[in-house]
Amino acid sequence: MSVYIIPFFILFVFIFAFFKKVDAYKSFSSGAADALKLILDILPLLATIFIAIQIFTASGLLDIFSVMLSPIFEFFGIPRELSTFIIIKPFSGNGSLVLFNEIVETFGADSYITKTASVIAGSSETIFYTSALYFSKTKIKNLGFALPIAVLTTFFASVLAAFVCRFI
Amino acid sequence: MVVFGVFYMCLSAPESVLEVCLNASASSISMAVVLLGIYMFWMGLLQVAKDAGLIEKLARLMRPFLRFLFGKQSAQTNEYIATNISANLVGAGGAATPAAINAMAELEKEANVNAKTPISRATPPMIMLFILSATAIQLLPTTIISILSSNGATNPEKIIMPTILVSVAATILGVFLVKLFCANIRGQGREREQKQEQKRGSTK
Repeated sequence: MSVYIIPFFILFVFIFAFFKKVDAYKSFSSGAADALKLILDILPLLATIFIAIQIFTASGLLDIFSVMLSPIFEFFGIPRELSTFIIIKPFSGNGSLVLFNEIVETFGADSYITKTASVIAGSSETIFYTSALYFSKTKIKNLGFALPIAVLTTFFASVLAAFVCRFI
Repeated sequence: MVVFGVFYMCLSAPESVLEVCLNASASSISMAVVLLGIYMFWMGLLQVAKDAGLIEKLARLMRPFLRFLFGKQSAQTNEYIATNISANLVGAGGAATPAAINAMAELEKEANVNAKTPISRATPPMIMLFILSATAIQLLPTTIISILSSNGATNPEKIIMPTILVSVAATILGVFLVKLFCANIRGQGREREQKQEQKRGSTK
């Protein structure tokens, strides 16, 4: 059912535009031109975040972090095996996907660990990357409570996921 | 973070510091090219939808909801925010991100109209928009399900309900925290005026 949402939406837009006598060709290319400008705007920033995140993961700081935090995670009912996955998720979408594949292969597709990882993956975002990207066109330097709240809700989602998955 | 990372790496593997940096820098280019392809399609399509008046209809439909979350905003901002939220819902991240970037720029512009000096601190509506995306309500986690089923999971669809449940709960918590910690969005202007009045009063 939900596979049809996006194709249907695309079809709907063009049919609607046709009846509204909108020049779809012109509109589409002007939108695409905006995309080019946007990417040029955010590319330097993209490079900066990529380098920072790569240093964080490649240096092994990430592993130290996850060893340090895993007792806290365990206290809240999150299995130790998932701590690295939970920590990498806010930083890197690709990294967490690689790790997710490893988890599935190690623990099996029907295990509790895999199910919990699936729910966590589906209910959280790469917040550090997203925060930099979203504010990239603005001159905002101080994000205020944005990151603490995002980290807290992500952690809450992980705890809840570990709990809910005991029942499926 | 970068300083600690480089420092630690100097101890563990000094020969690969530069390599890691250059690789990351290079991979940001390929990422940008991938994103460009995705954004060109989505922003093109959304421009068609916008010129046909569809986005405006969507924003109007979501207005009570947007008003509760973001306070009163310009029509343009509401359109971007409405696009971002709906795109996130159906899992079209490629459409959601550019809309959010533009929405943030609009929110900044509006905040600067009232401010004497350009603002450098994120305003509550900006934080709200970010948190809504960060908690990511997604109706269908397609990537995860396809990985699960290709690895022989007996019933990969089983994770859909818990995923929705968890992300809805996280979103509610996020919205609640933003409302709690980031000064009342609707009363913000009034509050600032009151503060200024108090200052004036105290100098007298």
